[in-house]
Amino acid sequence: MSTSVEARNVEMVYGSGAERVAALRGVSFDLSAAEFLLLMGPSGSGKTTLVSIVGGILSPSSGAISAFGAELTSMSRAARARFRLDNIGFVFQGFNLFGALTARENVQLAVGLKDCCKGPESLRRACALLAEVGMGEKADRLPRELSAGQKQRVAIARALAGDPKLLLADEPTASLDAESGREIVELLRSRAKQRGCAVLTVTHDSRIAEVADRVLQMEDGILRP
Amino acid sequence: MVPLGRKNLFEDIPRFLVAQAGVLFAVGLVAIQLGIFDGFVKSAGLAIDESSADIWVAAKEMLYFELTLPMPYQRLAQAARVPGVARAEPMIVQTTVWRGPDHKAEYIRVIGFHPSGALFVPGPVTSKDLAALRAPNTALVDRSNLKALNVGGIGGSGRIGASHVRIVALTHGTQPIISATFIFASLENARTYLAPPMPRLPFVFRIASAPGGFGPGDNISYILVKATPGANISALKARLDAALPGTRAYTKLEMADRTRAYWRKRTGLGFVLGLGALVGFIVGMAVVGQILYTSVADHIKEYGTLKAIGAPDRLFYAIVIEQAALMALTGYVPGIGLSLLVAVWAQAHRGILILITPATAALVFGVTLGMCILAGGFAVQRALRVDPAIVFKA
Repeated sequence: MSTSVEARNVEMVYGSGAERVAALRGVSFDLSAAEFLLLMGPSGSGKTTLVSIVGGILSPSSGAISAFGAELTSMSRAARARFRLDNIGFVFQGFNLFGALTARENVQLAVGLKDCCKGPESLRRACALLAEVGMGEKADRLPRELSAGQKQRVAIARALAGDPKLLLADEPTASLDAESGREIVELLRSRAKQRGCAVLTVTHDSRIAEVADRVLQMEDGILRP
Repeated sequence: MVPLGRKNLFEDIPRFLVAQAGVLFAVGLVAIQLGIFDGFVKSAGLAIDESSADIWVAAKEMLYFELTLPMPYQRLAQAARVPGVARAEPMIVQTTVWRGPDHKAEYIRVIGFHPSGALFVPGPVTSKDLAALRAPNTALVDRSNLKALNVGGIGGSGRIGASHVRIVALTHGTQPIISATFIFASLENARTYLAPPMPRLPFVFRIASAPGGFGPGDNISYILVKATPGANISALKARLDAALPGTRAYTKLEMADRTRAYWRKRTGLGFVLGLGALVGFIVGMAVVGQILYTSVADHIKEYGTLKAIGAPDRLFYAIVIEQAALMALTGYVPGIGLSLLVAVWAQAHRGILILITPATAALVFGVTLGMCILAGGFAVQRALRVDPAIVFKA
């Protein structure tokens, strides 16, 4: 199986002097294509910092991150934004859908960011993605008219809009009840496997562990297998 | 393109209405201030616009229509003899005081002209009105000035100097916004009204001099000239300048421009009204900026998500500019409508000309759009500065 992401000796330090806090201490791991990797650990252990660095949102203090053959740490801010647009999808605990837009428009907005998908093509693709996550019937609903599980499905459709090679999910089940949480994780896993897309999920939810290909534990900024 | 800017704007209707009130206020203030200034400048030259003269001859010292020095009456005959002059008529413009029935003084400008002449008519009046002006001790006034003169209408009377003056006709749309009250009279009546008072001697009653023909001892303010058909106006002006010592000839347009330029440049009104418009602009920008900024702040996680996905900066500019343009448009339409209503009301009830032309309306729209987009500039900075890492915080 080919490697999607390689992290080597990644360190992240916030603040300086007496305020200095080491969030990541020499973190190294690999993520293979189509692998469903779970990152677990207590609050403040550095999970979110690691996901932010893997997603090219934060730059590490030291170490190297490469994704799909590109060295993320050497890229400019604009190049990293372009890289995210072309390769990475995000799913968040709070869904982060625009309340004034329908489910379809929320997805269409993300689809439209790709140069290849403008106008009617973006509409067609948004509808197809919503159908793929089981939300085809509710495409014209506003987020406030949807349940938490349905909102997260829309958020997954949005994350898939750019046809990513890597999905980063931050506590995707934290706002959901047990059954919805299980359905969402199943959906994430099935969509990712079908597309050959790697998934890195941060969670406190131990019930997800059974569907993961691999689980990494993080504690005080250090990864433990 | 998903209409995110529009949908975000209309998501919170009460907040949108507050923003619209701010834009409406700004549009109203800017349009009315500009309208007052344009109306004021336009109204300053109304008397000149009303004339059908090609050339106005004035004393060399003339500053503007209402402020000039007298010239001898003989200049009229001299002007009439200049080749290329088809017709020449005199006009008197001079300041004095009106005392209404309550004896309250009102500063007035008496404008004397030939009621049977062809080169000047004081606004929309009938031949019957003009005929009535030929009678001694009569005057014609603008309807908007009745209150200032403390007269009820036709038949009302007051005193100018020693003369008892009766209002015999009314006109409208002739009174400059900032000027003494205009009173129109025949040339002879005007001379009578403006005659210097008799010396106050014991046991001598002051009586008004009776109107009569003009002679060499009389003065006039202007000579209105109609050129013969096909005459070269520039050449005629030069001939009039040469033939009439101490005077200068102006085309009608030059005379109107000179008068308007005086008011525009020599008074602080443009600055004062401009300051009012600027206040409107700043208040509008503050309200719109605050509303747009709040709108971005309320959707900070969603904007952060777009940044995390990799949305380019131009998307954020497009969203905020779309909102700003919509606010400008939806605030402008009622704002300019309200301003037009105020202008109509002011003209009808106060005789004040607030001139909102299509060009003014277009300028106000441009100012409104600029104001909203400038205000949006602050909000877009907030969106561009969003740390995409914010999306990972629940």
